[in-house]
Amino acid sequence: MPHLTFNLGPNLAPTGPVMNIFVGVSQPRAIALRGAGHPIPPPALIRGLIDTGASCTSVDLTILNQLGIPISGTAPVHTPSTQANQPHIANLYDVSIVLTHPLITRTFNAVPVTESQINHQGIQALIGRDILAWCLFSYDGSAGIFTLAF
Amino acid sequence: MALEKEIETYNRELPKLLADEGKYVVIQGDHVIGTNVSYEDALKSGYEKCGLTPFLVKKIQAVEQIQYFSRDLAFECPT
Repeated sequence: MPHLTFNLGPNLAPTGPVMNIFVGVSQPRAIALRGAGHPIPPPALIRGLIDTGASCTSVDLTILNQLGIPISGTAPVHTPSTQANQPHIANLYDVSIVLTHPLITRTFNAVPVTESQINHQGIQALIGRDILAWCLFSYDGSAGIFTLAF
Repeated sequence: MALEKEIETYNRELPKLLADEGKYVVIQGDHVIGTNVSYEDALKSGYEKCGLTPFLVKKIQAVEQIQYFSRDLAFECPT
């Protein structure tokens, strides 16, 4: 299983397990764009925080708008600010996500992600448990190292 | 709200759609385009049949699964 190890040392605790990922239009949308004679927007290289507290992946709205991706669904969402029994209805967008490794890339062709506004936190995505479901994630806080295998 | 008509259609058709619970339905306007086993196949079907015009892809569930985040995401105001 290819794996990526990041040594952030003492910065791991304050920044969290952050890594670069590519986010682009989903493969089905890319085929539709090509078929209609439209250009396919290049995938965006963004900083994603591996977040085991996120049940699904979320991408900053500026990135989704940059890629020209329309809303393709909705999902009820609870965050620390939502009231019990009153989830927020979040928009979903279909994207592709690529985890890169010097030897191999892992491409998720079609992933429904929620929108968010987290760019001001220095990240543009929360990599949630829908992606982690296909990975092995190790967080060694005392060594300041995290590893993602996929 | 985006896809308002499609969500109305989903809610109206849900009793019938539950025969395919767990699959993904594609809806445009008043019309159920079809159901597929995977999200990716549903998207393919949606783009093949609706092109680049908006459509809804939704997992068919009697009780919709809630997504949880341990931090606030500062969603856009839906108004």
